[in-house]
Amino acid sequence: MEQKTAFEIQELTSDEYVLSMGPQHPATHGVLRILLRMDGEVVVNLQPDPGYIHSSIEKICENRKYDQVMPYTDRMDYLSAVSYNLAYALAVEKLMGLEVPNRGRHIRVILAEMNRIMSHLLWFAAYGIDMGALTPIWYAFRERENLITLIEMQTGNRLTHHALRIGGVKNDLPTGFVEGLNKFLENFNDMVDEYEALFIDNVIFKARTKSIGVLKKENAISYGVTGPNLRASGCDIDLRKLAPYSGYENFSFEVCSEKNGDSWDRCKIRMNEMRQSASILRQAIDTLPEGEISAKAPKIIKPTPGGCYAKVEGPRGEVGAYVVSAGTDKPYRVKFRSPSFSNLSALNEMCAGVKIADLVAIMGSLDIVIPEIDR
Amino acid sequence: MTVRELLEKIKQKAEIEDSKEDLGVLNAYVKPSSLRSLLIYMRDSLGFDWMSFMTALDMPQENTIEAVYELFSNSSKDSARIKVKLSRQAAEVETVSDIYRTAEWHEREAAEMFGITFKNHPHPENLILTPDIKAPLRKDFSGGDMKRMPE
Amino acid sequence: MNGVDNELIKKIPGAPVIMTSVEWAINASRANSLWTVTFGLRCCAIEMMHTGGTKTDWSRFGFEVPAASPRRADVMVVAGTVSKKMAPVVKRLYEQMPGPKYVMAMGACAISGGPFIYDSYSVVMGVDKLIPVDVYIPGCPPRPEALIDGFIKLQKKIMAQKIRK
Repeated sequence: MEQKTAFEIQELTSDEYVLSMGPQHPATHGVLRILLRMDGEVVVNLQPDPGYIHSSIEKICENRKYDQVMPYTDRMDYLSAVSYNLAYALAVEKLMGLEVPNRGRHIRVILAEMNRIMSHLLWFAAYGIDMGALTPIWYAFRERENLITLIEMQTGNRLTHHALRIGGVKNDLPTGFVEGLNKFLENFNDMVDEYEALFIDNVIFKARTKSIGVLKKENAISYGVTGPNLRASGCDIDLRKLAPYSGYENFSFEVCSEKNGDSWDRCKIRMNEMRQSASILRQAIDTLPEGEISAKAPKIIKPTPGGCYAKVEGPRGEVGAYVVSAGTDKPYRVKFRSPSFSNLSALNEMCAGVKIADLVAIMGSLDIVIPEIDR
Repeated sequence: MTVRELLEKIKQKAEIEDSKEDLGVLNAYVKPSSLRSLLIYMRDSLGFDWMSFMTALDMPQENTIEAVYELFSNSSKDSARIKVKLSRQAAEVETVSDIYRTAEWHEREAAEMFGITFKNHPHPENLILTPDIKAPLRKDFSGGDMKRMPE
Repeated sequence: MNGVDNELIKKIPGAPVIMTSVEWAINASRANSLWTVTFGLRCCAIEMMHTGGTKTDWSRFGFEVPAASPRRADVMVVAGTVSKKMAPVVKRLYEQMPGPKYVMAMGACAISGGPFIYDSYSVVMGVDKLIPVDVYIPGCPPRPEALIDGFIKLQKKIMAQKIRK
């Protein structure tokens, strides 16, 4: 066989190799390992490997009383703790036939929307760091500190606040809370415009996120993707409008959605959702009713036997709790439906043929939190 | 549609062993052999385009494990819960991950937590657990240095 | 300082100078520029980010640079629950850090397992079962002020080290 000279070898080929984007990595937002099959710098296939923070919460909940389960719901997705509390409380209240009074439902909406703004601000900060922009984190954390001070005034803790109880809320709004919230909301819309102009409308950011990581509508619905990721693909599904709970039918707000399904649309929706949440908060403060904050729940909670699934719209998507009761004071089975579980399973669909830097941009735009995947 | 109408419609398509209404939601127990055809019918003709989750319940007193599929229709806002009774010693059922793609990961998790085998699943490996822990969510599990909370 | 008269210091040509022991100088340079491995596992990671934020700023004390790779870090702040699947990774990261290295266990989960002590089959009951810990910071999650208190205690521990064997 004659030897080919360098001029006759027409193309260079490369081998495929497996790269482990390991559990300790600054861009995976927690402990997640992704096995990448790479061809040079292009990702051919990827396989997420979760389970590095599995704490057997569902087994623990089978041996705790119903109100002892509530603090564990904070620790699954610590950035949207109120949504998990709310889903679990709604499921148990439906099993018991408890009705939460109006003031209690209103306070729940206020806490949930504050939680949504805080979660989106942290997404903004973390995404900036992933993309190499080191300034958004300071702005976002300045706003977050104001909201955290208010939540600490109401519940007593800054994070993992255990804000809700079965039947309503534990504490009424303290003096100074409504004034503090009004002061925060005065400038908030201008601040959101400024942050959007700083980061989301930046030329480099647009070049890195437009047409990257496109998720089509049929795939999104079939994979169970929810939240801003689904609404970016052209679906108008928001559980606060589709199946309202806790008094959301009394507030008027828009469902933010876009058409293209790429990473830039997902970012734009989260900025718009912050504005809508601010509008809901203003309406909630203006129409706050008087009355009781909690229904009279018995000391030992023993729901009737049966199963109930309650779902709410968290910052990341559909948060649900499926509670099965056998008539005793401990639940028979508690299953938490977490949005990041289904959002992450669609990652392979979005990442065929992208480079590693684009992979980081896509994962950041999905806004996943790892402990709620492993529970 | 009401629970009764939904039950009538799916009775024509699949063998329903038992059914009950639980807080306004239909809970229908189907035979494992007619699970796939029922889910395809519900997705294409009845508008149940959304699967919220798939999990399992361990019932040692009846010697069964129930696989639970929660479906929702975005257009008519109806919910339905389809359950399949499997034997505890040999829990096997067909996969539905090609009907609803979200079931792929949910079935992997149910398989390792309860010891269920899903036939024809594309990736039947462990998702979350290490290989030394087997079926921890069964009621008789006691491995992994688990300490029970004292009363 | 350290036993030398102040007036004498000012008379030295090229003053101001500091005359001190080698041990104090080395310990002070180590204590005031600790680089942390960003090892936030669970909820405590968010409080760690807030400690670096604008209200309580940890870079006042020298913890400016979060070194993502363990090869150039001094402190590992274990913030969150360590599961059995993650345990070999924690050990390997500790071994990859060059000496002198310090470990801080932040939060109830890293100290003893936290709320997951009972009925859990997959949690390591405290990170000190894997690696030696210097400072324990209790809380669930600890406030940023508590984390700063822990850092200052670590600095005091480093200042009290002897460099001669």
